[in-house]
Amino acid sequence: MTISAEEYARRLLAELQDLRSSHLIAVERAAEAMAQRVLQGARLFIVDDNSGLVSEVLGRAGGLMMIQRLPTTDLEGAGIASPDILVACSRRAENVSMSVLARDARQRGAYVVAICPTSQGDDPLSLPRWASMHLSVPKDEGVFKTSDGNGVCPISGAVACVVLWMLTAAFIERMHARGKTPHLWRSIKLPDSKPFNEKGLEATAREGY
Amino acid sequence: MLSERYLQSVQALVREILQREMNAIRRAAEWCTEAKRSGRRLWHLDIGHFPPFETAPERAGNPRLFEPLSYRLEEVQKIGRGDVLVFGSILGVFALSVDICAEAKQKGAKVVYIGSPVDVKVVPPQHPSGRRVADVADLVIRTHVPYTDGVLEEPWLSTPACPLSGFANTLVYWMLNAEIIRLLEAGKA
Repeated sequence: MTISAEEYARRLLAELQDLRSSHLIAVERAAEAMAQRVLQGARLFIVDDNSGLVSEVLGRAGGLMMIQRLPTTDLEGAGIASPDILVACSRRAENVSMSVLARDARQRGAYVVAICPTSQGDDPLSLPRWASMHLSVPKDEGVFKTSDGNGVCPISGAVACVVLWMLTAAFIERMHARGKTPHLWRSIKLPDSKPFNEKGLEATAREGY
Repeated sequence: MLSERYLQSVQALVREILQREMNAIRRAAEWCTEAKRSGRRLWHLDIGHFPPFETAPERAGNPRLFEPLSYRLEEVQKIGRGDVLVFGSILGVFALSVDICAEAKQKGAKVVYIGSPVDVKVVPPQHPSGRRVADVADLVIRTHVPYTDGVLEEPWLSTPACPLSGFANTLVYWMLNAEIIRLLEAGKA
């Protein structure tokens, strides 16, 4: 395959087209379950094996004020219980610590959405196995091979980022349908953002979403 | 459905970058390739939420053409004449961002900005000079992201939902890397 900027973008477009056919139903189902739980008082947590997606959604313009970083992998210490929600993101399906976390969160009654590649084998400690809903993303390999055989220019992170925002969009819509539109962050670069965000944070603390 | 609309917005963004930014990406790649061949260094600094993690040197699949730069003015001391600084920020309006890019240029580096500059009347620059990163940079690769970042608008939403800039800056960064590799590999042949 020819290495080029255009080819990278075309490969990404192909992956995005696949998302349309393979993910929309699963995203909507996950969002529906999340909305139902939030109405029962659930908190929404996110954890990520490299912090990139956590950073992407926390305090983010256009993102949810209610979402929180999982404060500790000690679920008891974090107080994770039913009906809470955990979005678990990983660059690998076979990720022991994330799988154990997902398993334990499920056992404590939480709803777990996994955003990670599909398992290749039958590993009992694969993240998708323990998720309530698995949203698959490409494996963490570069799109191209250089002349010395190295895989370069990964696509998995960009796709995972899109999947996470699709899930957020669906969740916002499902909550709105119930008359409970969640509060969102406004860009701090906009002149009116400070009072807007302060008001939203107060409402989120009061209402939970 | 909003989820589908978000996906459509992302797809449209990729197509727009392909249609409108390839000349800028190629030009930036030429500068970077020339710098590499001359033994100069390539620097990358993105102050967004997602890109700093996704483009980190230890990221699998990162060809490590660029060295990371921290968001501090002192960091510019590392930059030398003939280097290239690729700077990512959605709007490029923070004063420190402008100072870093201006200082890098003063030291003889080329500055490439990845972002979506908007009219100063819409989002006022925070630098005392009134300049944005786009005003300082040698080259701008536009990401075509709305200034609110959030892309989904509905009458019932108090602010646009679900941002695009993390994805967009990451996309352009990997496109630029791919183009540099193409040029470097072509030079080997």
